[in-house]
Amino acid sequence: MQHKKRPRSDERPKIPAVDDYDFFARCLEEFGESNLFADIETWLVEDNPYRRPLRPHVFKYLDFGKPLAREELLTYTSLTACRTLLTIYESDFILLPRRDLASKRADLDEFYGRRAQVLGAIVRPWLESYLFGFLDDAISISGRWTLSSMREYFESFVAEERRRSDCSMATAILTSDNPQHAARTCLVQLAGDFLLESSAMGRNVGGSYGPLQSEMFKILIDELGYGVHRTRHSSLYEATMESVGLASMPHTYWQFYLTSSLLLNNYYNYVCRNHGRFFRYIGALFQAETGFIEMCRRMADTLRKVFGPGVDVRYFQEHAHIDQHHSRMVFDKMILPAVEMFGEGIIPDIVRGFEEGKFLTGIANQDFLDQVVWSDGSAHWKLLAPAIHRNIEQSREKPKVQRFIEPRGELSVTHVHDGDELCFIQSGIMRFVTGHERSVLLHAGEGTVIRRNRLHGAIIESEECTYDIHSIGDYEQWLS
Amino acid sequence: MAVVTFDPGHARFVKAGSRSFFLSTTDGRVFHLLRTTCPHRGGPLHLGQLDASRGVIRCPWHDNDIPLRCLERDAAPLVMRPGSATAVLPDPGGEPITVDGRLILATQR
Repeated sequence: MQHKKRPRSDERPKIPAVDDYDFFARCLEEFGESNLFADIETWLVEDNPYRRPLRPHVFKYLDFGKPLAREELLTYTSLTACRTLLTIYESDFILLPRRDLASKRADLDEFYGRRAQVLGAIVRPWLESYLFGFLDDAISISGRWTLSSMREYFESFVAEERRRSDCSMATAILTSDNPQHAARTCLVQLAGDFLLESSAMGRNVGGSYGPLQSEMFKILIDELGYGVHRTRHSSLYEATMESVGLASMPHTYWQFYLTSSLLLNNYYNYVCRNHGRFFRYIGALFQAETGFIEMCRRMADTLRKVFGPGVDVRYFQEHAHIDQHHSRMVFDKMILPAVEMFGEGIIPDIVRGFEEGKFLTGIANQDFLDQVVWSDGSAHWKLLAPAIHRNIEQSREKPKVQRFIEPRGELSVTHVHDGDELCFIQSGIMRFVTGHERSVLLHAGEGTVIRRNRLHGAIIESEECTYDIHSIGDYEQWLS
Repeated sequence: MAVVTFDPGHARFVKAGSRSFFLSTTDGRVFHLLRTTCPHRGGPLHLGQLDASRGVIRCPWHDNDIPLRCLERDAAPLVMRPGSATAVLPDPGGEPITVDGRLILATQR
């Protein structure tokens, strides 16, 4: 039986308290006024899960009113929405520092306090619509889905996954100029989710929904290591991080999460936070558990190749094994019984979640690859800068330029630009940062090309530094 | 059944054995893979006139207006995503599957 759907939100009458954008924008600005989200003077956030630089001073210039288009997924506004939304989602989770809670108690109280909760509750649905509204346009599910057509569809995906021999993340690492750095960058991207592993899934454990609930719980207890702390999957991931010299406290590398990594992490919270999206979630879960099998096998091999036998790959080995069971369990014990219980009308939701998860994973893989390639090319981008600067000087139609004068130690929290930019140093020294422990030093008369959507930050290493940021749009048009 | 992936930018017509389907949309957002045969006397609906405002296709044989909602009930299961479409088609009974006249291989398990 097909299900009757509610009308789309844009077809319903408007309610001021729900649909007033200005009200949302004021609440967002208020939300950002907490000290927890202000700029910081270090690259890492050490053992304080409440401190998350959001660059809130920029909120008032951004427009979150219209959902992102597909080609805008990695823009500055998207990055800001992603960082803010994850912060709000994670205020549902218990996050505690490992040491010295007393000195962080005020932060804890503020992170979970009434002000953040109320403002977060207003802001969250707007950011969700802004970030994920495009999925309704990007992916269309139609036709008369039956149990057998759905089975055929998913079984063809499983067969395709079994034949798969490539893993784009592994390829990006192995073909990088600096495979160890690329591998650490990859581990950092995954850490946002894996160090809090299955927290989003845990949102589905409560309630009352029959045998499916028990099946969901079985998967969750695997993820949590059956209550044995050292076998919990997030504990295994901590060991992986530590074995390659990375910190294992959640969000230490907050500033180095790519937009797409945050987007994917947010997506799983998005479909788990609102239980009206439960059927989408089980589709997304099936995709993740199935796609993860080969990806984890390849990641374990790749990490060993790059770091040698000292790297702890138990996390990836465990997933390469247990996700074979989870894939089957989600399909046989959740998806098929759900369709039997609730009718074929839920199939388009399940297929939608499956497709959305797959689509966002593809975006994340490509974004990671692009960041690795851009970061590897630092010397090249630095080399291009003087010629581009000269061409700008000689051009009649000059691009928009902003001049900054900053003192020693001034740290520019990581961000992205929506078009190519030229950073050019007039005086002093800047360390231009393209990733964790990866940077290039720029002196007066030097600069670099900042490619569109690439994550970067900077810190001043002279008493004072004067630099210009030229919004050049497309760097190639300034080369000739 | 057979799972077929094709490029909707280049192909709009899919044939599985004796049954054929065509891609249709009224808003550019949601796409349907509709049977080409008119439920009246089997006319070629893919050659008919789509009237999006009234939600009908006029069959070129007898000028019957066939409501899209009726056709959508029997549409092939379809997923459209940027750059590709995947459909689950009825078993072609050993016959080939073609997309816009070109023979393609359905996903094999």
